[in-house]
Amino acid sequence: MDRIDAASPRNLARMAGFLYLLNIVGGFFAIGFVPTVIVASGDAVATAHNLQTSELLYRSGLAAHIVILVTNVGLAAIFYELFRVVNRTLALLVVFFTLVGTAVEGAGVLNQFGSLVLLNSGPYSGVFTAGQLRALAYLPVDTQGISYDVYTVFFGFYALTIGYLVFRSTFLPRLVGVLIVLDGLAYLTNSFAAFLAPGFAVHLVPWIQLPALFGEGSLCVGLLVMGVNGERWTRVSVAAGMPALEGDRRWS
Amino acid sequence: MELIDGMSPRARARITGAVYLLFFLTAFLSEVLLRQAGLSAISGVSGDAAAIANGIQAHESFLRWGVALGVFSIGCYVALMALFYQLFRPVSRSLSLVAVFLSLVGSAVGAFGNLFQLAPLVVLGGDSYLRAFDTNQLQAMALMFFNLSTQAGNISLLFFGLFQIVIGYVMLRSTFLPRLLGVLVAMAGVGWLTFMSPPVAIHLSTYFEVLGFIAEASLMLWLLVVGANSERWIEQATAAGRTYTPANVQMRRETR
Repeated sequence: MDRIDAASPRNLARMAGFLYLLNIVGGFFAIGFVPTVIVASGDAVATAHNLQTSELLYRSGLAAHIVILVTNVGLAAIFYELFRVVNRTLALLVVFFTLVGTAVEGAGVLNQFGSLVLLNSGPYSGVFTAGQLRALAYLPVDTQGISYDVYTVFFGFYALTIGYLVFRSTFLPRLVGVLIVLDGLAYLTNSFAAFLAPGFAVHLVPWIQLPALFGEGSLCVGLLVMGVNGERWTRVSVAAGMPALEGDRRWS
Repeated sequence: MELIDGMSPRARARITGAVYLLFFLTAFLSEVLLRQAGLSAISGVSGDAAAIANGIQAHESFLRWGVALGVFSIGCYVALMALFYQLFRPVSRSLSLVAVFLSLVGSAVGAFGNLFQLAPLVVLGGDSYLRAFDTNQLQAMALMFFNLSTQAGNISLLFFGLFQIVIGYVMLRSTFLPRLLGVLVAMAGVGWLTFMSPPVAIHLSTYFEVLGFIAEASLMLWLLVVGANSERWIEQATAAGRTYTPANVQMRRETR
């Protein structure tokens, strides 16, 4: 018996909720907490000092970020299984947006390792002055925002799609779907404001991040605490003419 | 009626064409705007770093709109891949999947390249920590970043080329689209692969760019205007033994 395929929709949902929780907690640590400790905005000297004295914390943040990437991939697979009964094309779209967004996000993490490489005096460090090295090490910190703005475009599209699927699903609360759609709109607003009018985008933070808390937070809690309504899931699945998973048969 | 899944194969093909058109328009406009700022996502930039840097700063909003539309166009392309998979699944499930996965990897590499299109604005932004470098160095760095995005674009071309060869072959074996489209798309894919060798690409790039444009534009227009032949699509899907969405079953009843 296969472990994932044999799981009931409710158990799949719980697994997704657990991965989402890891994702949110990891995201808070890696993107929300660590940079506020390490980065002194606009100050390359202080930032370089923090990077060197708190290297382990910085590395932990990057490691947590990589864990997030892995949970994204697992979530994509589970969401496909759960939502393909609602709309196969859109469920595939959820997977595709997640995978591309995750790949871009992962490449951004590579950039952030660059700061450590530069400051940990390699053979090339003698060519630059100390000031130049610190400025080069600060550059990935500075461009991290752009990387975030690019990958959140894909997560914005992901949220719009999965919000629609949740809304139409009947096996998850409609309100959660609405909240995730708002979350997606907030991501897209934030990214495109940052591309087009960075001066304006600065004023949107942190308000623009609240919808993510409610949208993805409610999806995570909903999946984790309630799971999905298995009876309704099976009904939707049968109506879509899809063969049930081995687990549904055992479960129902 | 359920969005996309509940539509006839022809209607779905036309929606695929519409998303393709949206990709085309935004990608094209993105390149036009970047050229207004003295840059090009396709050919990169070369020459006097100071002049280019001044151009970027004088036309900052063109660069910003160019990047924003470029990222949006990749989003359209990712959506297009889900629609492509659904369209070509009846021909060969595994080949369609291989094709769209290749394209997704290409899209991710290309999207990461967008980061390097905005990085010049950071380097030229005049933050105090950048005073460690003199102006010439900053301008050279700005140029280097932008050209990295072109390199990312070239890497993604390898994946797009392979994608087009596989999907062109699938199109050739499909009964619901003209075979000529498949041949054109596969040839365009072979053309993109020549970009892996700059000495070869220098001589042939113009021809292959024209071929690539003709192939994709004709596929896009065909899907948008004609769509796919619904009856044949269903026949091929039946032969492949796939399960139907209710709309397909209904379509089949109507065509009998």
